[in-house]
Amino acid sequence: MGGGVNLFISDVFFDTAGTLVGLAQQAGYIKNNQMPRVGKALLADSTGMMVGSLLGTSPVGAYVESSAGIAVGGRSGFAAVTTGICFLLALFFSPLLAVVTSQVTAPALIIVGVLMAQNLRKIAWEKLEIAIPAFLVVVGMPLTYSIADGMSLGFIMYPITMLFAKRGKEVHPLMYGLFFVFIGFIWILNY
Amino acid sequence: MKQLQAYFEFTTLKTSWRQEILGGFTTFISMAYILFVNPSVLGAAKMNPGAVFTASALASAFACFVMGIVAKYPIASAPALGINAFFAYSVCVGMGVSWQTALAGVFVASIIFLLITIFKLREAIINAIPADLKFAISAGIGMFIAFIGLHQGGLVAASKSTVVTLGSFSTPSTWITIIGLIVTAALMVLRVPGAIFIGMVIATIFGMVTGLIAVPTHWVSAAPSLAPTFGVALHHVTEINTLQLWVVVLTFLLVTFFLILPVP
Repeated sequence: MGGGVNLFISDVFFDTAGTLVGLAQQAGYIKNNQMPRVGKALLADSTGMMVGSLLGTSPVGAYVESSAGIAVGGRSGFAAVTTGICFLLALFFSPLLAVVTSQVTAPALIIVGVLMAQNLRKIAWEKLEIAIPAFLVVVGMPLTYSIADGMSLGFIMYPITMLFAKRGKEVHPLMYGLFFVFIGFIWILNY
Repeated sequence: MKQLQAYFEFTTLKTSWRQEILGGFTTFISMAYILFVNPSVLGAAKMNPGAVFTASALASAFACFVMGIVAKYPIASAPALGINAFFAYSVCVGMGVSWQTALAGVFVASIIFLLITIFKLREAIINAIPADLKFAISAGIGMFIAFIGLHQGGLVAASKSTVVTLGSFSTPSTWITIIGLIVTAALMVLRVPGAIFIGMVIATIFGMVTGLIAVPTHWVSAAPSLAPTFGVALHHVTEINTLQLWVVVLTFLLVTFFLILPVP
């Protein structure tokens, strides 16, 4: 992913894979293609994930919604501290849980789905060796009702199509490793 | 106050208390939906919604504080949509793993993630996966959670003859989703901050007015107890001992990578 930063600069909003870089860019922190303190930023998510698992929730990650706060002027870490304080105050509004039914939360899932699907346009659809595994990942997830199964289908197909396209050398050794990992994964599921 | 201003580099960043507090609050309003969506999603894994609510709020606050104070970025974190769906639907419902064991899997993954971060192995792993597949994963997860939303909202239903079909509009509660979806879509197009949150508020009010949602007796209370979920991950760590569960840990790592990692 050389030049990855440039790729994400063009799409600051709603890019999940490059959330941190995109947001840092929007806030004006990226200079000379470098994101300062990137290790510390990652620490926030990895320690958050650990604390979350001990408290009892799924993994924590940076939210693209931070771009809304940056858009209205948030620039320093204090904006994030303010958001954190709001989360603590929100603790006292749990009775709302009873009124926020799954019909109420459904539009949030659908709209966030739309935002994540915007990544589709960045896939090299004209190259079938890419398009086939990518398509299997995209349709595999909803149709198998499983993120892992969708990933498996694409990650198993990718080295195969790349080899037949005579682009096997471009495939990272780790991807060949994952090919076997995911075959094992599917085998275990069916065992 | 002056020391705080100096610590957060207000002068260099040309910012003010007003700007920072408004920014932080706007971000909160924009992402507050997760506090209600996460208990609903993890509820599918039979987790206690109240405890998930409290845990999600505390974990988000913690991550926001680390990001703000240590990394000094105006970036907020919370339990990610998509990974929670993977947790609940793929691991717990699909593979039949208990949520207690799955939570232990997240804990193990977070330790590995921390080590990978510290030893800067992140770029190596991230670079190995082709960009097209990363985009496909993000988009696929988007399709998946939208499918869950369409199903939960009643717009898509199971069908014996065609696998899936359009939901029934004569089910009154489906109209809560329809109203919410239209309002949220309109506000998103207008780029109103907090569009998703406002959409949820309006859908809830619609539900209450029409009697589809019971009006609560009180709005404010002490935070729900963490007891059902607190520390459960630690007690079940030893259950991560089969190949299947290690694959779950690996997938947690991969999915988390794609959703939150920067690509330098």
